[in-house]
Amino acid sequence: MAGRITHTIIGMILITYLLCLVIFFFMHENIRLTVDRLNYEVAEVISTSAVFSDELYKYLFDNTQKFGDYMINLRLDKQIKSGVYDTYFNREDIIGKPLRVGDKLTIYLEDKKLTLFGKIINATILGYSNDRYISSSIKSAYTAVVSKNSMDVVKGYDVIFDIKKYSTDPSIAVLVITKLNRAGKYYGHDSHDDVPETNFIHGNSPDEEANTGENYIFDNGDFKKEIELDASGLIKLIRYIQQ
Amino acid sequence: MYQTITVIVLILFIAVTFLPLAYQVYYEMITEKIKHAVNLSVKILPNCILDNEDNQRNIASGYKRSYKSPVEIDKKKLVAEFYDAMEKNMAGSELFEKMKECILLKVIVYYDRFYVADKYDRWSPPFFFTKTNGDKLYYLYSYGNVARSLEGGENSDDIYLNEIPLTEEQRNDIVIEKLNDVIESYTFEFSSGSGIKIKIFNPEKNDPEYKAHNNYFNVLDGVTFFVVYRNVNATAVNNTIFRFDKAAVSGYTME
Repeated sequence: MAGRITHTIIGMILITYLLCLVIFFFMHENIRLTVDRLNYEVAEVISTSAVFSDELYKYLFDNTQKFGDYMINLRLDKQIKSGVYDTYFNREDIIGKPLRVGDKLTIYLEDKKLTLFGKIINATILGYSNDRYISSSIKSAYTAVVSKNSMDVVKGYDVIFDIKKYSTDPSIAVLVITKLNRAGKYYGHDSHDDVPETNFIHGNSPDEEANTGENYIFDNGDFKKEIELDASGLIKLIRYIQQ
Repeated sequence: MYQTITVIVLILFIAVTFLPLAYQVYYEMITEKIKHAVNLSVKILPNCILDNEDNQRNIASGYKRSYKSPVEIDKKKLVAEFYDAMEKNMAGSELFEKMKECILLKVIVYYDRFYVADKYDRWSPPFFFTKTNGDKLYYLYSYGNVARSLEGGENSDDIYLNEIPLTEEQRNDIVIEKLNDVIESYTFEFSSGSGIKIKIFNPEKNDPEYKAHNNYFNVLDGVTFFVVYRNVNATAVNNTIFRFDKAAVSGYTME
């Protein structure tokens, strides 16, 4: 009698364990698919919009946290010229920064905790524990290749060209803000409200010389373009901010 | 006794239902992963524009470029960059190597011609879209309403399609048929006696039923790069490899 009861209990436990294993496996795979899909959708948006915005990051973060404790690692390979990249890992250097064709942004997601399936297959059962830990945490990595330039981002040579182009128009001022000079330098005619002194040419003063000058415009540098209009809707100020 | 049999039957039932389902889930995951990786990797096209003066002028903002002089693509760089992006997007290098074997073709379509690279990355000479009218050969563009004849050398004048005579819809059909003929010849298999044909959308056709069934893929609106690939999964039984006879296409158009 006692043997039969023990037998029944062991049978029930075994079947329950197997059923749980099956159910948790499919839940685990379903989460893996959903997280992977989320990551892909975000990569796809970055690829065509050329910016990993704050909102998009929040969307990714909020949605992945529904399925576990996910860490999000980013890597931006910013193309300087063909085959030459600057690499950034810091979130502040990546989120919200405009991207250009050829930049590559990798998003890596990993659940820091195991799913129920992961816990059950690595669990100690009746004093027996698996010697080999089975890594079953959910991971997903996608690299978005940027296929369009972010709107309003121009190269340094475009900024130099615009300084020259607008020099004949006293109603327009150009403000160039470099990384070394966050106050910026104005170009234009001093009859303009914002321009302290007439300056039409870039590169003719020591502060605009290569490497040492705080107002030097790096030819291949990325500058965000912002336009300010006057009351009549005409361009008043063009602001270039180095990224 | 009965209890033992019940437990064994239940375990067998779970195993028999679980294994095919688990395989199905794994297969779907791999298929989707590959689709995502290819979709993201084909977007490398705009980064592979050949670096020369004409191309730089053509892509300069504010310059209205003509469909008769599209930007040229650096084909070697395109293949290298495509594989690089693919490798980054595949979780494991083993899967990437498998996938590489399953990419049957890489195709670049310009307005007036296209190039095909086989699975060994050997690019073909250009295939032009042509139409014969009488004894004259006309070269077609997949856009606009003109064709050109090389009778008078490269400076020969354009001729309107209706002079050939050809409608834009018929011209698009010629372009699509030419593309499919070449793709079919590249993917021809003696065992099945056929090759792959792609449902390419002809935007000039107004038939609603046609639109409903063919509006997934369009190569007539710009410079397009697309790849044709088969499923990675293949099952070997008694040294015979069984594949699901299914191919997929993924591409990106640069306007």
